[in-house]
Amino acid sequence: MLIKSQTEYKLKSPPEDAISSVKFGPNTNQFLLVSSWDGSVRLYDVMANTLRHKYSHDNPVLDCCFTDAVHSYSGGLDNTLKSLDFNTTTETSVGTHNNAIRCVEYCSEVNGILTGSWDHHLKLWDPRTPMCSGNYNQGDKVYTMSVCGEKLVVGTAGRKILVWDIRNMSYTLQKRESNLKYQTRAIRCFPNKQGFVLSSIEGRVAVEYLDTSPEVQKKKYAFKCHRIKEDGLERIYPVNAISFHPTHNTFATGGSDGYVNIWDGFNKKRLCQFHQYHTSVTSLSFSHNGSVLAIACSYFLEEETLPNPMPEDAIYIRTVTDQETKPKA
Amino acid sequence: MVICKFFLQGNCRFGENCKFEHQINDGRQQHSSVLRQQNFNVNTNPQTNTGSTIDTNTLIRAVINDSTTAEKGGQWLLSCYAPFKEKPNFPGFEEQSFEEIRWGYYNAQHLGTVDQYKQQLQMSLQSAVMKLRSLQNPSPEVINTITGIYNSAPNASPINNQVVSSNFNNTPLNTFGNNQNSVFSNQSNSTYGQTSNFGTANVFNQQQNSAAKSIFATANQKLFGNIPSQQNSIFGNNEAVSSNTFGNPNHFGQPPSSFAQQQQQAGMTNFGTAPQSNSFFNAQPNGTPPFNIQPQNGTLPFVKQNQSESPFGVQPNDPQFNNQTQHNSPFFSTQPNMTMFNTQQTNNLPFNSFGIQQQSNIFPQQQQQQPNTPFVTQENSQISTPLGNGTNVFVRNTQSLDSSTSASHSNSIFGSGQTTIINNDINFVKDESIYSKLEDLNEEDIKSYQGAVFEFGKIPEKPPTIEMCF
Repeated sequence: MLIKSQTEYKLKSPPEDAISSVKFGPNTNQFLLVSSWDGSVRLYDVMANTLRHKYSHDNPVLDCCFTDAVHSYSGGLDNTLKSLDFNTTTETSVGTHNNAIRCVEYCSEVNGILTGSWDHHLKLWDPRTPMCSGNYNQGDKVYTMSVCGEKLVVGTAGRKILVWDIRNMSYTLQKRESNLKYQTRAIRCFPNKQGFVLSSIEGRVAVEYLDTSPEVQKKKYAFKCHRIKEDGLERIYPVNAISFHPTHNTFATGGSDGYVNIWDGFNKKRLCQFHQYHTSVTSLSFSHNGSVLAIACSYFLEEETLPNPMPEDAIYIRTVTDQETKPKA
Repeated sequence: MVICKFFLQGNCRFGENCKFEHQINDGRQQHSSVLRQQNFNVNTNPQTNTGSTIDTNTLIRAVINDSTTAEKGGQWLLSCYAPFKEKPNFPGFEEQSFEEIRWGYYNAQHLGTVDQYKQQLQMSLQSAVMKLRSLQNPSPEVINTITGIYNSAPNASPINNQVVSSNFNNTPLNTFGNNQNSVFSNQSNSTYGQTSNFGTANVFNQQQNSAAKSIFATANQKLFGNIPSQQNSIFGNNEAVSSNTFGNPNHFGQPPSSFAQQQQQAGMTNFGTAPQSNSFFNAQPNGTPPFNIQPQNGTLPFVKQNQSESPFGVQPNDPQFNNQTQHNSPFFSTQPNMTMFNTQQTNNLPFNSFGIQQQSNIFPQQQQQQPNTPFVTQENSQISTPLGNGTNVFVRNTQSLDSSTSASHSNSIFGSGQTTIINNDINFVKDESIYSKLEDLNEEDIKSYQGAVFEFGKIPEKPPTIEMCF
């Protein structure tokens, strides 16, 4: 079929404004949840390239996630966490924060949804009821979050990182500072739960470990990426998105330079770089088996003068091969 | 093990028999006064302070490099900046994420205030550029901040920290004089995160050796102006110490509870919630002594009223306590059950001097001893008061018997805690109301006061008359 032979194609009926987040469904290569600044949350069937469901918030949506194949949660600038049941297409407002919800993540071990907000708090929600089962102060605006197993890594303003054990939220496991000098943009945890990858606005990515013993901490490092040298001047771009390949422990990063790179964190090598996209890459998501990568491209405010014409917002579905994502032994 | 403060000064009278550890503390100069180092936060060559061989120039060059590449590379300007690894952020940078700016635009469009928003944004960006440029051509003030940051205690090593929402941001005073009128005034002041906090996340775990941040240096001078050259004044004694205590205003803001609990309450960070900490920090840019805030606020330790909180459990009208102007009351008025000090690294905290560390010791001991007089007797003229000459606990233990501060070593009534530092030059304001009238005292009391020594069991509960004291 035509779709399968192409390595990369664009999704039809993309959002009408910047895309904030794309997430593949658990256990599927087929369904992709997309949240956007047009206020909508869309569910796509990427294989058939159709839009399956769409629901709206009153304000731009900043993040979304699946809890299972049938339920999705999303939150954004309306401060509200909403849930959609795809089977019954019922929308529910689950709860609110005092300020915008910046990240929504699901932890399967605890069966809880976590939302991080600019009101400095992290809330834990029980999907069954659904209701808020905890409210935790992170100390500063929450910018990014990632769940790995039972642990949660939160990146806030001021370059702070908090590590929590979701099963026991009465205290933070770790409080640390980012290895990088500038604002944290994204954090994602390694699937093997050994550590996490952190990216900043300064075209740099750091690989850090959760184990606090000094021998392990020595292994942490950072590298520059997503920078473009033009005429001897190095332009620095923020690294907006990170996504891990579920099995290889390699990760893809997407920056405002329009490139997507795939890295091997343990061997400190870049495995692959895709062609340059027409505008910034704002979000990435590997599918459940790692064979497909969703790449969301939207212009995201780098320059003071907006480009004219505005680049369109698009989601590319790219089939990735082992060669591109597997560590070279 | 607790390092002996006098040893560090080069002058410990116990020598080898000293109860505390005589050891050079990682890089500190052995012979220069610890106090002087910490009071001395400006124009200090980092080499002498930390013993490290990093030249200030290298530090500056690193910062200049960072800022130039950032500006040239078109880097996002509204970001925090930490020049060195595992050290605090540079103060004064406003931090906004892309989403927040974009949201601002959308909001403005909705409200029809786009131009205004654009202007504000421009201003923010301009000020960010100015700051960046000032880093490229650092003024002496900036250089000092840079070295201050470099020399401050590392705070990024991941600590398995079950304790508290402690201080994230321990940057020194805002050298940029950052304002609150950013575009995003509705968003919780990001500058909070940057204005000084003076303590680090490792307050409890590590030796605190942050250079005294200027506000405390000045504040201390103002408050303790009557202790002009006293290096031993309680607050001047150890800037880091005061920074410790200030570093955790939330501890004072809450009923003393275990730290785990504090964390859990999810409302109490240093900045976010405890109201006293808010105003505490607000006071900073003006350089007003933080102690002067909220005198009614019983939770700020330094400003507490004397009543019934004195660790000596003495009558509230004790002249010594009341005579002192408010800033001296801190000596006596910390909440006795502050678990915080029990866990804190013992750095001669002023409060420790009153045995708060072993606070369970204080009260029983006091009942046996003359509670109020120790503080009276430092002035020479006072030595003839009931406690009598030389029997004063403190006098006995002091290292220097001059009329300036007497610091008693561990044998004080305050238990095996830290040195006791009494400020002799207490500003006695002759407030008549705190003294009793002669008619109020019964005969026994009068006899006790007039006698040479207080007898156990016959210590008067009413304060002496003013004539008895002066």
